[in-house]
Amino acid sequence: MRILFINNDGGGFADYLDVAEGTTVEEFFGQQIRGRDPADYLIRVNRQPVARDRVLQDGDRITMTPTKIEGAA
Amino acid sequence: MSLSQRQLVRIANDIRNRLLTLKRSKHRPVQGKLGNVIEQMERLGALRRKLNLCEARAWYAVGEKVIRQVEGALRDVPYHIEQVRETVQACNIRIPSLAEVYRELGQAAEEFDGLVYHKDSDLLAVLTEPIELQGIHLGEFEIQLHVPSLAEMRYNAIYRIFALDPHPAASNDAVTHPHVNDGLLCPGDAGAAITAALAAGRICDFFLLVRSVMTHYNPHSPFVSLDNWHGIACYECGDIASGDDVFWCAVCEHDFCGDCSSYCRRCDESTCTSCLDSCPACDEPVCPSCLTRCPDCEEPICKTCLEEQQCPCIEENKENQDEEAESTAAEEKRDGGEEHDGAVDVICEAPSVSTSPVSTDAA
Repeated sequence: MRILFINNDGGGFADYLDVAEGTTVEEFFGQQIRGRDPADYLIRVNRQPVARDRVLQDGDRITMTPTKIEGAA
Repeated sequence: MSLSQRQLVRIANDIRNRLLTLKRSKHRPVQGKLGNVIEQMERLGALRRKLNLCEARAWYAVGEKVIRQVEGALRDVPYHIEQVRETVQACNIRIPSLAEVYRELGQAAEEFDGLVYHKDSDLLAVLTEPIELQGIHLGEFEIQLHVPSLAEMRYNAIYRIFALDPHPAASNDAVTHPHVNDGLLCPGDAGAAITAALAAGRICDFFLLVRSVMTHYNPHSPFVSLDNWHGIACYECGDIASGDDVFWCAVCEHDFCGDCSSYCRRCDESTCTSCLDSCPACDEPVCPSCLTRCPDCEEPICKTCLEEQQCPCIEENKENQDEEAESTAAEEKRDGGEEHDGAVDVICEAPSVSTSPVSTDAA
């Protein structure tokens, strides 16, 4: 199935990705943002907060935005 | 006051139109870059005609030169083609539909507990919660997006951070947050993501990213560090000073209060009082850079006094020399006087001449 993934960590680009049926939000996070804690991210599916075990559906729009980003001077 | 559905639609439409204008503005650079490629092709075309001529007339030596020219012209072609490709790619931004932008605004209103639009200044804004970093209360901030600037994406014009309850750094009123100076946020690691979000009309993502920067402190690169937020402790006496009352010593590279700081009277460099020494010649406080040593007596002296030969040792030497000269003169005078006196004694001791008549006997 195909979903739209907007990764606001780094470049902030949006891509259509193919994911396996039954993939949960938590699993998808682990695949895309390795080595990071989901608690440090704002995760939205179709603009709504979701539980980690929510299963992704075809056509879902998922965004992941870090909550701690280093500014500068 | 929350925005009505009609207002949200109007704002979403405005945002979408601005993004369309931005996308269309990227056509002109493509024209320019394409022109460069065509110029190169025309040049190669001309060289090809030259080569044909050289081949026809058996001008092999000239042909070699033309081959070199072809080589040079070919070197620039990949660069110009890449330039065109990049500018074309910049045109391939998908403009969101009105519905999508509308949903973005709705999400922003939910994530931030409200969305406001300042009609007089065309600012779409959200409010952060009161921000506290490392125990320092900074207050609430309004993240303001200037909607018309979306058509141009000029960095300094597009969004600002307005402190509603400012608690600025003691040393600089304009720094209301460690990463905000004069209303401008330095987004650091979020820069690229913010630009991408705005270009794609993801207004909510933009606001979320800005908030993520503001609710996190980067101690390695603030405008003013939180350690010095309420002022700076004087390195000498420990008193807290701020703003114009903090002075930097260029010698020991520490901060000092007004009482513990001064300046070099020769180079005007700001220093602390401890880093200054008094020149024995002019008695002025000078910094180590302006102090040197007299080559004669090796005592410290400021460079100006040395150049003007004001070292006390010079005067001392002069005095000594004068004394010596006087002493020598005095001795010489004394010696010269004694000889002269001796001559007088000789005259005085000369035998006395008899006054009685001298009898002469005839033999």
